[in-house]
Amino acid sequence: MNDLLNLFMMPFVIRSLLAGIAVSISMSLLGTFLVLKRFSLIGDGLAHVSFFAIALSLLLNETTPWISMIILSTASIIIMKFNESGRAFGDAAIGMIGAISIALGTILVQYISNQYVNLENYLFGEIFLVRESDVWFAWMIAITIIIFTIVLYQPLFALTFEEDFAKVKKVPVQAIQYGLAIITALAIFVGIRVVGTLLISSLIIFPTVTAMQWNKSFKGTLISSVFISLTNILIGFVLSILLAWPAGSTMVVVSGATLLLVYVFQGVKRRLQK
Amino acid sequence: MIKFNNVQFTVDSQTILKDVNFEINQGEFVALVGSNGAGKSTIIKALLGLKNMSHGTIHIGDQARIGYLSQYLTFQHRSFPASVKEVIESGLVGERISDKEKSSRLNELLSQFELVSYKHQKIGVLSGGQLQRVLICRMLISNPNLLILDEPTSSLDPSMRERFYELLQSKHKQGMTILLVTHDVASIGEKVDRIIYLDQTILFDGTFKVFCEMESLTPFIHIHERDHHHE
Repeated sequence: MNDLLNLFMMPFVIRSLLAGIAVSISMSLLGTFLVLKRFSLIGDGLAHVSFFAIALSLLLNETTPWISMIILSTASIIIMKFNESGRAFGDAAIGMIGAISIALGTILVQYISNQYVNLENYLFGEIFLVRESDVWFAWMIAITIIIFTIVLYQPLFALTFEEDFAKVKKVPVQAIQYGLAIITALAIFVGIRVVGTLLISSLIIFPTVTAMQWNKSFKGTLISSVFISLTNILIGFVLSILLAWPAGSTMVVVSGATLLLVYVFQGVKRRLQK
Repeated sequence: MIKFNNVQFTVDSQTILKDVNFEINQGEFVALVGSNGAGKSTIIKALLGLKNMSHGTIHIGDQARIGYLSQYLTFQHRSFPASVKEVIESGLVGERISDKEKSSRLNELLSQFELVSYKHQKIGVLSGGQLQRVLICRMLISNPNLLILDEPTSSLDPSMRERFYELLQSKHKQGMTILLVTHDVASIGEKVDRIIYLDQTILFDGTFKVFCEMESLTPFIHIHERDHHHE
């Protein structure tokens, strides 16, 4: 027991935990808007793009995150732009951009001379390897998203519920959507360090879908999804240490289990009420 | 208050609207009618700035505060986690208004539209007619002076539809300008100042009485009268 407590006091564990909390707040807040705008797959699309961006950064021996951030933000805006011309086309855009990015990334990897690069960390994440700078960056993004959500709450609700109505009410829909695209790209960039490119969508989708099972209001769903996400991340984190499982995967499995539990509980409750 | 000047709209060389010219003065109640595909919704979208026209100008008075009601929302909104209160209050987005005033307007509309007991309910549990009433409240909460309504009665039952028309009439008497897109020309005809009949271009612009006397248009009235009774 003492060993376990000591482990939780280790700086790298504290760093990982702080990064995990920041990422879960960011992704769950954004997730509510993205899922309800039928846009949850943007996480998958951008995660694929990030694979290309990371491969390019490694090839150029570039250690700063700027290349990845610029590529991801551009891709995110392109996907949103495509989406304006029709929902089905938006989905296709995510699929196409994602596929090309993975293909280019895989080709670039062949030319990376650094033998010590472990791409598996990028695919599945490695929360225990986050650096102090990652933690700071994750919290900067989280605070930006919290402010964005609070300040623009009413316009965000209006445009998520019915875009045309929001436009008629002179809500600057396009500007807000581009803002959303850029902070989504940045949040995904940080989130990939925690759960990896393959699992990042789960941080966007699971908390919102779980919260939607019982909440009657938008505000309730938004706030609940943050708490659900935090709970999932924390339980996943502890379990991964206790069971020596990969952290990102454990968090996703816990998120799936939480959704299943809530779904069954709500089903039983509805039956009993009848 | 509204002026369309030589408006044209083409998509992939297909003409949707051509030479559309009409005016709606302040305080007028006008019904825009026409068959499916006649271009009614395009006119509304153009008026609201949701679509750019290929040619022509559209002018809306500077003093206009628009209240907009779209056609019945899609099934996607059934699963949207929002309460009746949240949806109605979203009609005040971008307006600086005290919480007290907001809540007084909300409660007044809820009781007027018999939605008081649904205030905190999720919109997904409402019937089509109840949801439409919520959207009517969302439109009215900002105290608009120009109503633009795109087939608003499609999911209302006959008694609610009648009450909605009465409401429009009373708003009209208070000086509200109203543009109503509808199929239901038989029920609304006598209540409006003017009827504009559209089929890519404006084929008729005048009173309901004259509209009924136009032999070329009587089949349109009868077809939609029948549709109306079948609903």
